[in-house]
Amino acid sequence: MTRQNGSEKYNQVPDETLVEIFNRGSREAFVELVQRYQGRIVNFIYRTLGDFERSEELAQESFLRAFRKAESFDSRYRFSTWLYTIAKNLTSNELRDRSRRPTPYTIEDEDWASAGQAANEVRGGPGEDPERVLLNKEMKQALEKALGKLSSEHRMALILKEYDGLTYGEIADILDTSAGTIKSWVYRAKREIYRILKEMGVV
Amino acid sequence: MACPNTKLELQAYLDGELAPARRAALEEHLAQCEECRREVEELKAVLQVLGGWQDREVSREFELSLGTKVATEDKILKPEFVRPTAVAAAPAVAAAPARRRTLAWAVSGWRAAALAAAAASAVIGVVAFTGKAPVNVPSRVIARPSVDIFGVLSTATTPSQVADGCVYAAIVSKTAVTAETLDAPRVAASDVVYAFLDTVDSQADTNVGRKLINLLAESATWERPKPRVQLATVLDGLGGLFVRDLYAAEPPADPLAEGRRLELQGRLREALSKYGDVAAQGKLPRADLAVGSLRLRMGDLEGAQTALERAVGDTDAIVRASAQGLLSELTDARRARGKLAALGAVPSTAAEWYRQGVLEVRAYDFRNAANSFIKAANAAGASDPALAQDARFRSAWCHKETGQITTAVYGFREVMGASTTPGVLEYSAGIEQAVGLSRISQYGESVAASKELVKRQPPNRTLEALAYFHKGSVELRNLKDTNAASESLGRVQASGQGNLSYAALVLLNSGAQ
Repeated sequence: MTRQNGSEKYNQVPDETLVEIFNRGSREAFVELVQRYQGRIVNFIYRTLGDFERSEELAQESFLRAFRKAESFDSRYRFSTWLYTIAKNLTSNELRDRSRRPTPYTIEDEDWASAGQAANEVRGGPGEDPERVLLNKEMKQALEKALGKLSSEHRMALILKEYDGLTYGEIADILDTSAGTIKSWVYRAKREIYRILKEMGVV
Repeated sequence: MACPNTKLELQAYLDGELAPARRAALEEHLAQCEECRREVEELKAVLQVLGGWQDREVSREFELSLGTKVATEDKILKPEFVRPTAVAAAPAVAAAPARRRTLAWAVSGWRAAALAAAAASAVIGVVAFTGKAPVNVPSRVIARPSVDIFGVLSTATTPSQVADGCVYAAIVSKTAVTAETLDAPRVAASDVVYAFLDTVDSQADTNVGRKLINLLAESATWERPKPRVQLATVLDGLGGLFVRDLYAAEPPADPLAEGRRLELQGRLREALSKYGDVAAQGKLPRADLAVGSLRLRMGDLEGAQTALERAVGDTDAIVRASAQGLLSELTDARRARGKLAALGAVPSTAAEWYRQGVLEVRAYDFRNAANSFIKAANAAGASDPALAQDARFRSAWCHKETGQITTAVYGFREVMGASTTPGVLEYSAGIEQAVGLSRISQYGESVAASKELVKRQPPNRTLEALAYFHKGSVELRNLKDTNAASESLGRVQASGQGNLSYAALVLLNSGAQ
């Protein structure tokens, strides 16, 4: 569940300073911000929609909006929260448009792996046996079903907390509610997921 | 303590958000209350399943396509900012001097995207983004850094302007600059400038860089940067190399890095005691994770669980996620042990031994697994050489995991020696053999083994780069043979292998200091 890309780990110029540098005319600052956040924004949208194809397009649209509106960015706020909010709005619109023609919620097979498996593959070490692969597959299907059933607000709160590692306060800013509400959404989302996992016999 | 007011309290506990006193009280309560304990287990199970969904790497086209869209908006990307100074044909085969060219590509990517948008050439954009030149396309495209950066750099006269210029330069040369070099701009300025110099390719650009260095030298607050890059865990070459692992602060020595070094050398108990000391002091957040992962690897599931559960409560998201991942490994290891215990008869065929070995690996019982795989290899013998070879590799791998590096090296050597035209398995064994030799301080032998290996036909470019990477790192760090190391690492750097190429660059730079 690592969500940092290479550039982010190695460059400590704060986001907000980069926005300022960008507003003074340096597009490299914007490139840096894109490289810093593209992975997180794409994955956030992907997990919210359950549709990878569409997520890259919406992520690009999010960055374009940020690019256009950078001058109005208030540097007292966090850039990340601002960018996530843009992405959230676009994604919510998409979900609203889809509500009339429901689309399946899908986790791509290639993104699904038990922890440790990838490491073993790199090491050329012992791999998986068929039984485990099967259990894994069932887990994936159960998680697809469970996440797909959640309300979009609960799903986004859960994703921002558990995959993006944001604080309840930051999530509250993005979803425009209180931290207390977010805590209870995240909790209810997990309970609902557990219920479905159990129903499907994978836990 | 009565049942907590809300279930949210239990969630806060798992989030690691409770104050110590609260936490202690809750843990006491958990020991007695089955209902709450079940609730905690269920929430953890959900986290583990969520952990199976890994982040998707953004496609390479993402930035190019976004760059084109941005260029179309034409807010900042004016054509006059984009001036390619050299478009010349170069040999298709990458040679050692290609190092600089690759870097320049990475840096000029965005500008090339703008060029593409300006309909100069769509192909240039592709070249810039993949770092690979399609056949019959000019393979050398270097765009001049944009005017604003040059303005700042060439007119800077005060320390703060210099620092500003460095930040700009750093952004341009970002592939070569690390976070550490930017947290104190002036101290780190020379790193940044040298990195910048490495990314430009014209006399004018070089002059600007030189001028900046002179300014830095004159500045009263100027300090020579201390080398911060310690090549602590390069040896872990084959094990999912992350550039981050190349760094360890020095001084003071990072006890976790020291523990990691011991672990790599197969001195598992010493490593564990090192990690344990750090964890007991409670100062470094990753110590619990390190203890947990090592105990798991040593087959101590209970000990691992205790440590990992502490790590799950950590504030660092990466530590939390890793710990959750390892806990799900642990759950699976228990399940595998259950299955092993239920097995009746002793295996008789190669396939049965092999299957038992796989199960033992899942159970984190590497000692027995190493044995089972050898039995499988012997049983398969000449009747199924592919299976025998595979099982032998796995056996050596298990020996390595238990810290028996010498035994592992012999095992890998055997696999490597069995074939004159190595496939992925044989070539990997060759690398593992060289890595293993360096871990037991047989540096000359390690390099000799690498040399033998790279003479052979590599099954793919990644493995070839790994072989050179390991060779170069031993030459540089252990044999202090800078020339040989530059040659080896230059190849890796030019090979376009992502993090590995970057790591080679870091190594090269550190060697130059």
